[in-house]
Amino acid sequence: MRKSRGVSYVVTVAIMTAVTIALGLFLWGIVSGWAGVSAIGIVAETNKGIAQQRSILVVEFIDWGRGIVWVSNPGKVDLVILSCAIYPKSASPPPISYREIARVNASMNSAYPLEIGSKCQLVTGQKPYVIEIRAIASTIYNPNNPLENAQWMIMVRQNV
Amino acid sequence: MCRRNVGRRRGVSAIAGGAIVLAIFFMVIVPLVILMQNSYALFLNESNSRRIFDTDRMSESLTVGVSQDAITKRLTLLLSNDGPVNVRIVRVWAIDVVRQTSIPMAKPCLEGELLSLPPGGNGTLDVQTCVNGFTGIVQFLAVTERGRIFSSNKIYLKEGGLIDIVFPYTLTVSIINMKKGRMYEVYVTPLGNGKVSPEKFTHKATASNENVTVAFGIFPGNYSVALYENGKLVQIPEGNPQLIEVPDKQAVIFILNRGPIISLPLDAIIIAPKKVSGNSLFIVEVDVQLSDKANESVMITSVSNILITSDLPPGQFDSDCSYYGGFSIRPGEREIVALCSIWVGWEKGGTGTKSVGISVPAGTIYGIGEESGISYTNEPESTTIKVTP
Repeated sequence: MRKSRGVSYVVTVAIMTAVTIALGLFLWGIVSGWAGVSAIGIVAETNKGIAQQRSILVVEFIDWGRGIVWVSNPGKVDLVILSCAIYPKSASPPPISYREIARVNASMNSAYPLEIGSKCQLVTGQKPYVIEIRAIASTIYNPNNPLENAQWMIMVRQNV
Repeated sequence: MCRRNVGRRRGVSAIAGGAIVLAIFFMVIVPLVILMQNSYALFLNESNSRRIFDTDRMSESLTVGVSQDAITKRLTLLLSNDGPVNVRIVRVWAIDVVRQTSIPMAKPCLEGELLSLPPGGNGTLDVQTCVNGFTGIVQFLAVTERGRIFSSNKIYLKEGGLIDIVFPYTLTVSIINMKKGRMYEVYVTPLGNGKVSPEKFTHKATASNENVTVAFGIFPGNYSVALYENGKLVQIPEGNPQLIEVPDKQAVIFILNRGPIISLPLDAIIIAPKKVSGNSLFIVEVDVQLSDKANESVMITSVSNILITSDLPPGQFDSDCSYYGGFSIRPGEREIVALCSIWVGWEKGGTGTKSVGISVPAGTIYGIGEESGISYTNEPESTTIKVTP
């Protein structure tokens, strides 16, 4: 009688231990998964914020004679220009369609031309004009969905 | 003995559970927190780096001038870094100002590692190749490595070079007897095809009766020479502006009508009633006035006693005066210098009239000219007040 009672104790302890370990491993898996997803999200958001901090675009000169807007990138990350519009300052901005217009490398060794008409929309009207360019860091740009990280775009707006 | 064994075996699952919880904490939660803090630190670092970049960028300051070599006649950009940070020029644009287009081609005029200027440093860039053969108004834009753009003045070029202008005549304009502290401007305006340089001269007189003569390079022709004092056209007997024809007349003299300052007498004005009745108290005011012909303001420094007399019996007349000084009056201005309260009594049943005399002797009111320092005093003035029952 005493012998059989001892066996049941051993079995009980073994079962309880196995259940505890199984539940613990399950919990570990859940927490690890959540932590992994969170970590990926944190890294991605940080990368986007940093990419925006590194993005700078300069309009150097507008060649009205030839119809070219010259831009350059003194920042630390290559940029993808998604929209460019020149419109009268007194008018409201024209509707903008976002698409990849040009890529501007992060280097001041050269300036990049944006042809007025084909790459840069011109709305004629009363002077003075305003140029508005939107660009996004190439590291967070998704060619299949240009507006995926639209909140991390930069906008250059200046009188011309 | 039996209970002890059971308790020991039950503790196995508790230990295993505790170990798993600890493992989860140290292997999942703690690394996640570290990752979050690390990400935040990375972002802050980048944000700080951008802030420093923006500060440096805004601190850049560059003066861009255009000059021509006296011997080789090549056009040169004179670049001067007057900011606190190092400036690297990476690109220079030459712009046809009228057509707003780049010259000579649709690209920057100069590009690459052009010039690096430390704070306070100066440098030059040969831009003759950009404007060879160009005639018109041109402006140069210098682009820095941090993305700032600095522009030169707009200059007129003829076939790629600055126009050499040698003026054959010199016009001298003299301004005589200026007034200290006033701003004088001379405008020489061509009436027709003349050319003059400069067209305007500005001078602020730093001393009284100052004279100045200025020279203008000028071509033959008709000109108007005008003199302004503090923005107003000066009225002089010779006329202003003066019309001249170069080379017949090459000197203009503006003699300002401002003679030596002379002292004018101060006017003492007694304001008092002509007649008062006995047993009454009345006020007499004495003012000083500076003639509007005076050439300067006068500081009234002191006022002596004013004489007040009466033929009323003793005990039936009393007066008390307050004097004011230490103020400035301008030409034509009038200010109070004394206030006297006078009491006159009257005998019961008395008849006839009595009088009170008020006299401001010469020299009672004393002042000093603010520009010349000369003395100003009043001329004598008096009045009589009748006292009736």
